[in-house]
Amino acid sequence: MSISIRLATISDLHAMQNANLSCLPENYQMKYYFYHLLTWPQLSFIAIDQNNNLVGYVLAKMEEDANPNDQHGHITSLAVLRSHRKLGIATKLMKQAERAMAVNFEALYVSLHVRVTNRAALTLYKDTLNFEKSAVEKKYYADGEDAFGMKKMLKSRNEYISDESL
Amino acid sequence: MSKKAEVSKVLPTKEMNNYKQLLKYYDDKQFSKGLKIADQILKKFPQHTETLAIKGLFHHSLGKKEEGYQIVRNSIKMDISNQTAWHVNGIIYKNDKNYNEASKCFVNALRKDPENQIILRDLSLIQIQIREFEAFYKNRNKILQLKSNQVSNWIFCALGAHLIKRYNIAITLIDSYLLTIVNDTYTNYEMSELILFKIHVYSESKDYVKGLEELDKNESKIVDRSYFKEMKALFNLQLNNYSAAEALYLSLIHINCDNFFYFQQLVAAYLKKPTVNFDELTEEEQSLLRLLFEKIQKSYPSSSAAKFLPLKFLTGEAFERALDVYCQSGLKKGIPNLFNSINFIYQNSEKTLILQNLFLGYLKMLEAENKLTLSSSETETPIVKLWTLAFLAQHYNKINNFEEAFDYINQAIEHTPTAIDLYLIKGRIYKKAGNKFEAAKLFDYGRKLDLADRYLNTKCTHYMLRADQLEKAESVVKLFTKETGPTTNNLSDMQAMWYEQEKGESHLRNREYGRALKQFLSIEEHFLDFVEDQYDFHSYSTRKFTLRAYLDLLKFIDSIYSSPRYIRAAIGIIKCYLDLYDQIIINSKKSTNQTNNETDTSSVTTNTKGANKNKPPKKKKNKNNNNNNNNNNNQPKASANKKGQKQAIKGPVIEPNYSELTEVADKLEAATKYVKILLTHAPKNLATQKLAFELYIRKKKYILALFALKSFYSIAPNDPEFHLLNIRFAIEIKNENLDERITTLINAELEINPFIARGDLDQWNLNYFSKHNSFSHRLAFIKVNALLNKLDSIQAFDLLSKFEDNDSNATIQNFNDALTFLIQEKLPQPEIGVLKKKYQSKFKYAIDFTSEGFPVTFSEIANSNNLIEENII
Repeated sequence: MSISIRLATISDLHAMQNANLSCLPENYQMKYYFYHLLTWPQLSFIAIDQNNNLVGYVLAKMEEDANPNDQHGHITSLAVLRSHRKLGIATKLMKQAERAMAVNFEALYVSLHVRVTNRAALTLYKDTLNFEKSAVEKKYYADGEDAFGMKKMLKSRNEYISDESL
Repeated sequence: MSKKAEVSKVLPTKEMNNYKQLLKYYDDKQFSKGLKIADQILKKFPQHTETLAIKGLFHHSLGKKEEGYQIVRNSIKMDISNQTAWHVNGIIYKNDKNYNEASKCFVNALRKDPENQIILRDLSLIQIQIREFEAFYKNRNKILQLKSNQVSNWIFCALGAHLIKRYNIAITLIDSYLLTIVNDTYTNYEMSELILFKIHVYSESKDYVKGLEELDKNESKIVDRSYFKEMKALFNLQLNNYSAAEALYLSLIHINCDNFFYFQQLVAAYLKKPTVNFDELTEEEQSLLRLLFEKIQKSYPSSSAAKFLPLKFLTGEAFERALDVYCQSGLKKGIPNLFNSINFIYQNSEKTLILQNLFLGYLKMLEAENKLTLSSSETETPIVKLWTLAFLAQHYNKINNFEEAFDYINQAIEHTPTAIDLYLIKGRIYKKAGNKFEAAKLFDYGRKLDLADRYLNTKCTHYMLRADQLEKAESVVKLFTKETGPTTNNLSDMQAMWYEQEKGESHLRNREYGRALKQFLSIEEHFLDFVEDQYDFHSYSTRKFTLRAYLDLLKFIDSIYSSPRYIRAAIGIIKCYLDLYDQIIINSKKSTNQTNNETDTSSVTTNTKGANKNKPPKKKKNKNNNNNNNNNNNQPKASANKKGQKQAIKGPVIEPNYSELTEVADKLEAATKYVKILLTHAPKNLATQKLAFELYIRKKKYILALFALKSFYSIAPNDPEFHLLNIRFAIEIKNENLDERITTLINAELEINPFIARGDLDQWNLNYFSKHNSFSHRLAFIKVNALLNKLDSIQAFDLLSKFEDNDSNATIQNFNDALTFLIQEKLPQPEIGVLKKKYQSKFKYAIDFTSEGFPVTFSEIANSNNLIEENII
């Protein structure tokens, strides 16, 4: 379809924040978005339609406290507007973020949290994106709900780079 | 604060230690403790300037701002050359975001010790915050000379050089620093970012040859492979190395086959042109590209760009075939977005017809043989028929055939009543057909089918606010804001500006100016916060080496007031103030007319009834009037209000009127601030020029009004609104006794701008009429007749009854405008009724023509010209 996937830049953040507020219960102030893009400018991606409206995004980071042989990325937030489902946008966004984590920061794996009751998201991560549950984190969310920690091993930087040759 | 600063009067050891402790308390934010210690020192040594200054700082930090400033000022008086006192003064100004004053204080603090690095650094952060790039560069250069063993000093200085476009210096600075780096000092990523900053500088300075050299030299050190290839491809394209660029874009597509930009650039390289416009391809180019995209489609079957982009450049049969393939695949997958994705086709009437016939054909085949085309051997699942019906509904909605649109969407709903998206489509049809209440109802219905989906909740809230159902909207939006306090606080904390905007605009429609201003001003607050947020990143980014992203941030902040969200909020604020101003004028006129026992119910209506004294309504009265206003409104609002009263008995928080916001003494002055911002940051926006005109004509600043008029013309010369503004200007300057210099200036402008109205205005209007013949232009002609006291009601009714043959584009809004105007002019009710019925027959579903009375305020008039970009996704 007519959806383009590209790196997120600072000027996309208004739209990203707006999409987040429209779709998800976990919201952040603008400064938190600035922090992501000014610390890891390569890791967040957006999906835009033919009129340049943002219809999906992945906001991603590296785990800052990880020890050197446990470098890994983390998905802070991922959303696709309901009106743009079934286009594989989430998968495409994740694929770009995962590659960028490995190539730029030598991430070994990527982790994320998901509400234990969010079946749709669990299915997406498990079946479509091949994540595995790693742990249950009690009362992870502000409203007291538990989270599943999920993980996915990544290809190495070198593998990604050798894949680049046509 | 400078710990090394010379302490003016030497303290005994015990007090000296205490003094040092003070600074630590400040750094640790233990202000109360610090204040105690400061008082202890001052008890023994009341003349100790530094301690006194820091005491002021503690007061300020504890929220006693005025007292803080006073104490610091006293410390300066005590010793005018005291470095710490000035430095502290700068810090409290900085903390209050008064950067200009802060900068002055830091400069004073540096007088005695021009090489104090801490103060120099503090000053430099302010300089970049307020974009004094020259001073920033000079200052960072000095700091670098003083301390060259610190990486951030090199980076800051290079940044400064870059910002004043001294690109060579920026490059030299980075290069010199890179030479001093011992292996393993920095991570691969950090080194890579430093090199990429250089590449960015080459790109900005358009030195593509050097940029390419540098990229190749450092390929192994650059970890960001995508950026490496993007820049290499771009430089090659800029240098007309088309085949190299082509290969690079192909390899980028290999990394991300959904990036439309890569495809666009690939096409340019492939056709050996710097840029390509898909609408202007030769036939030969078209067939070349068709082959290219076929090849890419085969290599990357998941690429949406490869499938979609050919629709943009193909024509004739090739287009028809590609469209068929594209739509069939979309229907089979049941993609809700299929219709929106090919929205662009509607710019071309030929292609639109092809599209319509394609889908009517699908439907016929599905109904007869359950397949999409005659030649197809596959039978389709029911879902394909469902989405075909939904598509046709959206298609007919797009071309304003609501009858057909409703027919198809109802068939679809009958087919699968559980498909939520159908209710949203039906809601959108209602909205476009002119019934916002039914639209909101349908979104509410859809929302209830999946309560866990916040998107549905958000859209429903949107539509409810557009229908001015504020309380309903609030109870819906609340479902996703989990906190215990008032809802809107949480949404505001999270900077949910869409909600504030829609709520503010709804209040404005209801003429609740205090509440409207509250929402719009809150949006402005968020923007001030964004600008403030950047402060911490000045030093952060140099530590992280992410300089390209940082430069992006600076650019983003520089254009932040041009963002549509801010513009809309500013428009709202200006409309509020102008409306409030007009109310006062109308009130004072009314009180003069009162002697004639004239009762006027058409214009600003109930709001002013209670206040017929020669001054603005007072706080309390305002409250009563607002209630009044609500009760007198048409049905849906009245019912919403009843609910409000019920709730009021139960006891939830009732939103205050915020009447203090409307009690600004000089409304026009308050509006001027925002008009100026819009003129600076959104001069090409029609609303900006319209509002600037409205403001300056009220302020009797005729030259400024004329500039706005000219700018309006340069943006939209054929907009009917221009004719009205043009004549209004001519009338104003005729009636006004103008200063001679002003007259000379205006005459000079008239001479060079033949489009500005002058002379016999009746004749001018007739000329206009003879040149334009759409419904909205005719309406402008009639409105001008009224302005010139030449309104001929028979002619007006006659002209406004014609819309079927020669102008099928007349919109609901046009008709509303016409009726509003006729009522305002007090033309005979029966004739207006006949006209209304006529309009109703064209827009069967529009509720506006059935409701009683039309509000006339400035805000509505300005709204009517689509000056605000309406955007509900």
